[in-house]
Amino acid sequence: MPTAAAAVAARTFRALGTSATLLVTDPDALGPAGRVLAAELAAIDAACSRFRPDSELSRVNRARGRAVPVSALFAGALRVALAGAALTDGDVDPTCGLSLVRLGYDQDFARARRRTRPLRRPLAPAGGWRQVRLDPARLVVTVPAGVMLDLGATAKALAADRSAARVAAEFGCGVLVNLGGDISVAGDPPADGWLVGIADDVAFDAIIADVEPSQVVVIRDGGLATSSTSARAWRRGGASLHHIVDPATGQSAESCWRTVSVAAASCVDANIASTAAILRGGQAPGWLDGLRLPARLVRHDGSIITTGGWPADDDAGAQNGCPA
Amino acid sequence: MTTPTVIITEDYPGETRAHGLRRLSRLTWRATQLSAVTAVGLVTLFARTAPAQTTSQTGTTPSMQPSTSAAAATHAARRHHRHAHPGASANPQPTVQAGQSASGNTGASRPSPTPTTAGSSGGSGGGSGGGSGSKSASPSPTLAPPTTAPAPAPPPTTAPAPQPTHSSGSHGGG
Repeated sequence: MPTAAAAVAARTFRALGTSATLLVTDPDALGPAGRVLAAELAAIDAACSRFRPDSELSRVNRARGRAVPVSALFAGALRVALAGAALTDGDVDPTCGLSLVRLGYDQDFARARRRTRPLRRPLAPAGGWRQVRLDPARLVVTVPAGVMLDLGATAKALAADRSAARVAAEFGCGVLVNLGGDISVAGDPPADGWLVGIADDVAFDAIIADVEPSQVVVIRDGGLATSSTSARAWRRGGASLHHIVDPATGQSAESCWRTVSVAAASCVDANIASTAAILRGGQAPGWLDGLRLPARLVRHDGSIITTGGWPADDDAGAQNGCPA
Repeated sequence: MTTPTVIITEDYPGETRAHGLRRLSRLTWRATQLSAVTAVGLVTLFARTAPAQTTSQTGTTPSMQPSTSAAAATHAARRHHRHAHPGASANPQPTVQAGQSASGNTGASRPSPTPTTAGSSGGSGGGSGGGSGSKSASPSPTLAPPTTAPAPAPPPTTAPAPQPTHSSGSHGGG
């Protein structure tokens, strides 16, 4: 039975290099649910952070081709990332770690973006995901020497899915978890559903409470994710860079889309689809339509198209894909 | 007049014996020298390799026998890991066998190593009824659409509307 909107309680804190927001339909559960979320995010950070030398990911990246025993959590996160690569023919490639390092994203983004010197080292194309070996029974991972994993995008979405499912299960309430735009909901939603504001062009350090959303939609299940070339963007020398890497070149992807938001059965699904849509450019609307995924794609000039039943904006642009 | 024969060197038994003894002595001396050199070489070899092996086991210096030390380290780590995950394979084979390729659907469709929250996730599916209770704690991505597509926000009313949560695309690179 959906609960009244007035009963929703919220809490926001910093985690995983971004803001984490928790909404629950049972205000009494907010405190303990927040602790569950914080513990889940801490576990994901310890397993999958590229910026912690003691993380499992760093240990795997340092192994230079040797087999490394890993936790079930890390194995699950890697399995999700590799499945995402398979589902997108390698567009969403978890072996883009070295690409990001060569682009200057080699530490926490808040610090990395402050450096503006020109890049001196050559680009590093990715595309090594087929060589990554995961033995889920033995919990052993082997990454070829010279290949560096980055699970940033899918791991955060996975954390949102895991946290929402766990909170809903433990406290029997409706829950929404938002990790920097990766949203997962579980349990019974409020009577009017979960209101989600879609923001097109938000800087990394924007104060979310001050952001005026371009559109507000209601979701009741699954997940919703937004990928953008403008949120995590920086400059090195004269080059404008962002964190969505074209695996073929190792360069920040050149896309006709500024922002893509996708709703799916889970936040992981939504995240993979939104990231792949940025990379697929003009092919993205047809691909998303074929998957029946509701999506909202925003061009650099601000014009918008939608797919899969996503509600249209009042100012939606022509429905004919990217300009040539 | 008779000339002494000079067949002594060939046939004189005493001279032949003395010559043989000298050869034996030289051979013995050379064998002794060779043994001494070999012994010095072995001592030097052991002196160099013993500390190197000790260091490689700590993982701070490249090992002279990387495959051996890596296998030992992996084996030790896995033994430790089994204590933490009793459900893992009990195969005592120390070397790591290549896992199946994660590419394609094979890796994606294989059952996942269930994290500790799997049980509670199952409870979510049964207990929460509708919504997204069917999601597992570590779902396999399928790019499936949601059960219900996003809907337009309801028109504003006189009652205060709840603050929407924002999705603004700052994820990635964590």
